[in-house]
Amino acid sequence: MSCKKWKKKLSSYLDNEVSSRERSKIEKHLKSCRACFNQFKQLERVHRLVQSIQPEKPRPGFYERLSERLCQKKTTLREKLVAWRYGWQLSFPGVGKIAIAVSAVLLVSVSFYIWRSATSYEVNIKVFEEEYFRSQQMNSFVGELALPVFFEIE
Amino acid sequence: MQYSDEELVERYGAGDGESFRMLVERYQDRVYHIVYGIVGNKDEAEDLSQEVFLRVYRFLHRFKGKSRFYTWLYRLTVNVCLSARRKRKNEPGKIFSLADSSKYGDDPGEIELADESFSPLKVLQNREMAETIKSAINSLSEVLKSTFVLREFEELSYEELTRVFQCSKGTIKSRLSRAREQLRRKIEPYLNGTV
Ligand SMILES: [Zn+2]
Repeated sequence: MSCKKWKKKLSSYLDNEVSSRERSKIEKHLKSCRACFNQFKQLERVHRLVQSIQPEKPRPGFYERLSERLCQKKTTLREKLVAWRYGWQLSFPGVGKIAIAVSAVLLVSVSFYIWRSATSYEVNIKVFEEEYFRSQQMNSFVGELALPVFFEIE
Repeated sequence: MQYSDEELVERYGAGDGESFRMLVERYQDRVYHIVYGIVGNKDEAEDLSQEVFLRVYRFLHRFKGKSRFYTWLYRLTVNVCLSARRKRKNEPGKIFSLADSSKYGDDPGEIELADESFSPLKVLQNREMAETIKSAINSLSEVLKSTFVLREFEELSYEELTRVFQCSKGTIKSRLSRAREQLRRKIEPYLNGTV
């Protein structure tokens, strides 16, 4: 076997991760080959130097900082949920919402009016007025609900 | 009473929040040390170590106890580091260069070798040596570096490393051999006169 192949095994030998048969073969080669022996000694030194490096530690209060981040994550999740629930309100501006509500009410009223005029020729202004008045109340209610939910979505 | 990792995981699963804290406190130094070994800078090490535990919090229920807790944790740690590196490489204008990170510019004074002697010259030499070694480690490719760091810092067995990296023992052997050979070549000029 060439030295190149032996040299590849030196790292596992250093880690004691070779079979006993392989180990004795490697040791035999190291006794007879100066180049491989020197390389092994250098690898050993590098290993010892790496081992002697002081481990880096986090600043004190690691857990406290972590739980702060955990709380933030939970809040944004909850915020997203709320935002999703009111999503349709946030996705239309106030005027748009009123427009949607008004057209819905108008559609209902007009269909009602057409149905009434189709069944009887009598035009009931009073019912129409009441319907219109109710729709006005509804608009202001929708508008109020939409206003305070303007917070930032992530 | 000292709970085992697995007991803590079980208690966490049963709704005991305190056991999460105990797991964090048991592993924070080790995780930080590994992350620092891979990314080579303190701010990023803090941020990514926290990211590791945020993921532990989120994914601990997926840990089925087929392997030891720490191999699962270290796999998560390596994943967090490598994906952060990948992300950074892909960020325009923030191209990660090994040359930039090979210098531990943040605070060289704090990197020291465990040294029993008080000879100022020796301390200085050791500091320089520690610097050299750290920048040599940092110049390794991400995958070689993570394998090397887990072996050298955490002394994981080859068997455990195969579980962390989900690869064969042959791959682990070859990675460690390449990592050490690259380090040896880089450090060789400084090796005379040490230990
Ligand atoms: Zn040889």
